[in-house]
Amino acid sequence: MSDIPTSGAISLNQMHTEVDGASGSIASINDADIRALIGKGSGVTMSFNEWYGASSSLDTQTITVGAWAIANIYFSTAYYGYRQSPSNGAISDGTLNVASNRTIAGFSWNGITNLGLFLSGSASNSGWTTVTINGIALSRSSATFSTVSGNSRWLWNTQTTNPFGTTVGATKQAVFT
Amino acid sequence: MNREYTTRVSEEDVAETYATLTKNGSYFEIPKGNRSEEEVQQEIDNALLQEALFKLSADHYRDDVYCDKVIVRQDYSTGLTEAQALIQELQAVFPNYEDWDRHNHNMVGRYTAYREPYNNSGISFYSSGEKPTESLLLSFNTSYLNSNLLEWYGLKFDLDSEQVMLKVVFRSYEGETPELPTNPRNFYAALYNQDGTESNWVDYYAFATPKKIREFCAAKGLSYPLPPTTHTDCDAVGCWGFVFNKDTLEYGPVKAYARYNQEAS
Repeated sequence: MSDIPTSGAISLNQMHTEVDGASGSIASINDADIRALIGKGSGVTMSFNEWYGASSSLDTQTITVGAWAIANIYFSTAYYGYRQSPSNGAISDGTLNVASNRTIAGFSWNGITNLGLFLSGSASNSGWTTVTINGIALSRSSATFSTVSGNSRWLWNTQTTNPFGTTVGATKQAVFT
Repeated sequence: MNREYTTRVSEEDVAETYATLTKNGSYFEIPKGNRSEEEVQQEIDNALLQEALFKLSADHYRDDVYCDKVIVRQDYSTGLTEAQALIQELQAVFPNYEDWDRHNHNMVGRYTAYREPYNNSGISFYSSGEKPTESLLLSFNTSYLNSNLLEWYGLKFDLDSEQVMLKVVFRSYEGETPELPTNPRNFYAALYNQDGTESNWVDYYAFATPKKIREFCAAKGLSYPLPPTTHTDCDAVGCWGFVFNKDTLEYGPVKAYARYNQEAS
C-alpha cells in the first residue's frame, strides 16, 4: 500500500518515504525517484495532486501461507509459503507483472535452501529491485538467479528468518518495487 | 579448482554485476558486488550444490557413504528392490520390530564394523518423517525434548549379537564439541544401546560444499572422505558426517553422503 494518500492533504515527505527515503530527510519533487512515481521528466511543471495514490510498487502478491515437509533422511526440512504443485497455500493473483506475467510456481522459505521465488517459464534477472514480504526486504541483486529446465528462480540463501511465518492460513503480502 | 565464468553488468545499474555460467543446461547468475574472487567461487559452489539438492528424488534414492576414500555403506530408500531384500533379512531376525515400509523414503543399508561403536556387521534402518516416540526413547533409557528432535531416527540391527542400537537425531547439543564446520542447519545424533548405555561417539551432520570440507579436513589433519577425482562438481554430496568422542573430543572418521536418484523398482 502506498504511503501517498488518494485524496486530501499530501506531503513531499510521503512521496519520499514511498520511494524508501528516510522520513524527514531532504528531498525535492524533482528527484528522479520521486518523479518516476508519476512518470515525469526533469524540470517539467508538476502539481502535488498528480501524486495522489502514486505507488512505487510494481506488483503485489497476496500469499496464504501453507506448510509442507520434505521428509528425506539427512535433508528433512519444513517449508512455508506457497507452491503450485503439489498444491500448498495459495497466491493471488499469482502472475508476476514485472516478469511478463509469468506464473509464480512457488514462493517459499525452508531451512535448507532458504527463500526461493520460482516462476514458470524463462524470465530475465531484471525489471524489479526489491521484494518486501511482511516487512522483510530482499534485494533482487543479492539473490542467485537461475534458469533450469526452462523455468526461473531467485534464491536468497542467507535468509535465515522465515518471512512467511509458521501460521498456516495467515496471509502475507509480497510487494515488488 | 576455480570455475570459469563470465561477468554480466546490469543494464539498469552498473554496480549490479553477476558471475554467469551454464552447467548441464542450467544457467546461473551469482551476485558479485564487492565479493572477493574466493567468495564468488564459494557462491558458485553453493549455487551448484543447491541445484543438486533440488533435483533429489523425494523417495527413490541411494546413498553411497564414503569414508577415507572408499564406500563403506550403501543405503537404499525402501521403495527399491535392493532395500526390500535387506528388509526381508531384518524381518527374519527382528520380526515386526518396525513398520519397515511405512514410507517409501525410509532407508536401509548394510553396515560393517568400520568404525566405533560398531563391533559386528548389521543392517541400518532409518525411519523418516517421524520423531522417535517417547516409549521408544524410554526403551533405550533416554529422553529428549520433543522440540529438539528431528523427524527421523535410526535403528542399527546387529545381525550377529541380535542387539539393536537407537540413533536419536537432534538439533542442539549441550556438551562440549571439537571444532566443527558451522552451518545453522547442522545437527547431531547420539547412539543408545539396548542396555540403556550411550555410545561415547557422537555424530555431527554438516551441510557444506566439498571444497569447504576438504579445507576443514586439511586444517584438522582429518582424512577427507572422498577420492580426489570424484564429486568435484557439487553434484551429489550435500551432507557430511563428523564423529567425535564426547569425553575426549577426539575426532573419528569423516563421512560423505553421496545421494543418487534411482529408478522406481
